[in-house]
Amino acid sequence: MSTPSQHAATPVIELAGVSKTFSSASGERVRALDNASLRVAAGEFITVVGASGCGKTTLLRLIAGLERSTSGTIKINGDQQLGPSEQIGIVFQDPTLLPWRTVLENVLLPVQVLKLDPRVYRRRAMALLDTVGLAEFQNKYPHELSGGMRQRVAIARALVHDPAMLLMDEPFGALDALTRDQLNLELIDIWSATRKTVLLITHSITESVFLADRVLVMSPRPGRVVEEIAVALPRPRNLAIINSEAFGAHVARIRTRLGDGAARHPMQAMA
Amino acid sequence: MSTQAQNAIVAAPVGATPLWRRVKRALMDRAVSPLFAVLLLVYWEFHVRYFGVDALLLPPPSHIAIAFWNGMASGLFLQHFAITIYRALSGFAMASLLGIALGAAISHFRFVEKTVYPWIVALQTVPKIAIAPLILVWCGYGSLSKVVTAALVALFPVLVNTIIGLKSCEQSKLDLMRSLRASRWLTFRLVELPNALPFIFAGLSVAAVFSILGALVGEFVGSKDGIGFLILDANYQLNIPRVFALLILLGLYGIICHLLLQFAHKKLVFWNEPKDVTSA
Repeated sequence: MSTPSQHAATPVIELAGVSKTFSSASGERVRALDNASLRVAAGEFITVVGASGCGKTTLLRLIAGLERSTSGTIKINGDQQLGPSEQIGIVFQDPTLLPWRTVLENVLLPVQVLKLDPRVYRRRAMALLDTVGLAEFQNKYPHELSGGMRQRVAIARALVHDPAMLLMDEPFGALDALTRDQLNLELIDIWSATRKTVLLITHSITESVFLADRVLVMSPRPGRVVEEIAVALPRPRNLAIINSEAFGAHVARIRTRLGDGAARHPMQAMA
Repeated sequence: MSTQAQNAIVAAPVGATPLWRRVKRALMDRAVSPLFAVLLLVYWEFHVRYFGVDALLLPPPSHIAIAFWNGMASGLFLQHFAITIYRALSGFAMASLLGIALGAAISHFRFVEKTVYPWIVALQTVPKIAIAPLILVWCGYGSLSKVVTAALVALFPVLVNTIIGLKSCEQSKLDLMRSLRASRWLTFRLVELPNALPFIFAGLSVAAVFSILGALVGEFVGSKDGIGFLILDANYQLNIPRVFALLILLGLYGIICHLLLQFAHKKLVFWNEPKDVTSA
């Protein structure tokens, strides 16, 4: 849990009344995100959960500066956000590794693009690969790795230039349940060790509760943050906590909230 | 105990493939197609001799083999072959450079795409071979007209594949580069171009075949040397075995080209297995 002093400090991410409307080729306008407001303190772990099409990816892309908001303001470390920033590391749903680069070369891609000192960051990249258990795979190519290993490389790459925050867009969505549990645990370890601010998007309620300090529940059409739930579970967490009563209560609450959202707009849900 | 016994019974037929079956499979995989060719040649020889087919229409394989040997031994074939290869490879090189550069420009600059691309699509529907006589008029009787014809014929597969390859880059890879504020040039160099290499290589293998085709057509239209000239010359003299021998030479060249490009593909685009290009 974050301490009150952290809340008093400048939030790492601050959204005020942010909306995003897409117009399709046929001129149809879709409100992907409606009036989202959010403050994330340094070192917080935030998860965003919701059904597909609820605007959670749009929210992440807006924070990442990959998309321009239609209205509202986004501040990163207190500064007006004007586009992508090296303060942010992104992990996409698909590992997005470059197949012609070795594992180490993939991790070093941000270093090359941002023109950082390769000698210094090579050591850092190796340390990160060691953290995710892939040190001995540094010279392998992505096609020689399993899906879980590839996503580990993607996490190491997102962290290599030491960004203040990590944005993760359903990073484990394509993995099998066991690998997913494993990576959730590793992610918590990495977060504990680095104290990065993390915003992770998921459609798994269990994952959202297990990882987060706070869960943002979103509902679709238009995409809105319908509830913020502080997760009052002790850390460090292990998989056993999932079976606890407190955990179940959190899950039930989110599930009810997600169910509400769908039930309240039956006609829109059908359309 | 009982489960172990059961496993043993189930495992036996799966684990060990009988030797005769493996030999049969190896024969099927490796030996059948050469065997088919040999049988066909034997039948060909037999048919021509037994039914007395006019050797002017269809010479027996033995005559073709002799013609091939004579042509090679006298140095006549190789002398003209070298000229044709030089023309084809020059055209291939021109087509490759121009195709990749133009493809990159078209896929990257909207202005170039809007102005040039529709014309390229329109030009592609024109049979390039039909322009060969015109090129002869413009570029003369020497090698240049053949090189230009070869380049023109080979250009389109490279160009089209380059454009498709560059446009096929996944959005997430581009987003990754954008999130790092990479310049357009860096994104092109580090992501889009390598990403397009499998497509470009597919285009190059087609272009390698097309370039020899272009060079030959150029020589057919008007030349005093090269394999195209030799084929026409042999045809006029009704030296049909020599025509066949020259076709074999061209076939060998095509196979070597294909293998070389496949090798280069495997080395340079090691993350992507080459797909056999069957389009002609």
